[in-house]
Amino acid sequence: MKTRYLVYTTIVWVLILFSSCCRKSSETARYFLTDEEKSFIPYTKGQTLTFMHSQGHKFNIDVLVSDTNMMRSLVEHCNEDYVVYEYIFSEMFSADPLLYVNMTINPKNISEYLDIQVNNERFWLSTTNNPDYDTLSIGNTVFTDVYKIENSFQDTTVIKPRSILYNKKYGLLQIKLTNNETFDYVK
Amino acid sequence: MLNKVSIFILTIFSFTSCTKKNCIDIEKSNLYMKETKEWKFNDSIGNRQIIDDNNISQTLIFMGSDSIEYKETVWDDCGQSYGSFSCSAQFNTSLSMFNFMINLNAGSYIKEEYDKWPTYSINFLITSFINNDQHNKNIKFDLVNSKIIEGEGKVKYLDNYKVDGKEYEEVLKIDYDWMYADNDIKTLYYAKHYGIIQFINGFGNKFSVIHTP
Repeated sequence: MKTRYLVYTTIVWVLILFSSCCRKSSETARYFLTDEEKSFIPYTKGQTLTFMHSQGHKFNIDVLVSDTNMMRSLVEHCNEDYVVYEYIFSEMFSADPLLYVNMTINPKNISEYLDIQVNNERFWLSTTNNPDYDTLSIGNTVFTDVYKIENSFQDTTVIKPRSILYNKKYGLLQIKLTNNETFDYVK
Repeated sequence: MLNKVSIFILTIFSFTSCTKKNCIDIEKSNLYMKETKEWKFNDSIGNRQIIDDNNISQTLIFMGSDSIEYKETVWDDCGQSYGSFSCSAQFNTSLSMFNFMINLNAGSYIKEEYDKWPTYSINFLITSFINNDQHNKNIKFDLVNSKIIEGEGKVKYLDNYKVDGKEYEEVLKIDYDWMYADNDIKTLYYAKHYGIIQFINGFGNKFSVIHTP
């Protein structure tokens, strides 16, 4: 009798313990990109962009990917819910010079930045800031509403991307290296 | 009967007398060891600037090197011992996303083993980020017997080779048979003490180390 009572008690306690474990996560919000946010990535898949190095070499960067997708936020802990949000991802590539350029924009509830990666360097353009230049000449072309994003490096002796110029109409306008060589967009 | 026994004994004796002891040729081993070490990159050189045929610059970053040396790692049948040396150096390009690992190996095996597993060797491992994916390719070259022991390609020894106005002495030219894409590395030039001095991609674009006097 005592043993049976002990067994039943144990089973009840085990059931209570398990029931207090993780419940199924659920979606608490869904965010979509505004037209304003979408306008930060002007690329379409299959597009070819021409750039020119400051020493005169012209080359193409191909837009391999430019898609809109939905993403679920990461659930890392017990009883944590998630949100679903829309994002745009764009990927561009040049074979020689070897350049990979990736861009991602999320709704402002997720991030207020356009995330731009040029090979191993990342740049974050704040989508809530105003452009840094009303007009700016790059090469022989005048561009309007230009943003400048700069990284600060301790070691400037290593040649790598240091700053970029960007506008919503054409996208990436210039990549500047730490030794001041540039790759300029050719309209 | 005696003749048969004598012939048998003589036959056994002649076979046993042919058995050689495995003895390390210390003089030769020391020479090979010294020559192998000369292929080690001189760390004090550090980072160098590269420029390609389109005048686009980047940095060949020296990531660091490790060396291990042992005084005694093998003992032969003649009461002698010998050691080993190995060294690994890594380089990255600051723009093109290539990684180079150069490994040197020297010593350890007794003379008999040389023919089976040559141990005075240099490895050229290239890691490239091509088509949004990481790829590796490797060539291992026997410095004593001048032959490739791993990988596919050709290695040629050059008495000298000029890059950006500087003449480098004792250079290995490594041609890889396999390329993952046209912008992958096809040819590598590696000089004693100076390491990588030039590489060429499948488009024929030469990336040359700039010589600073």
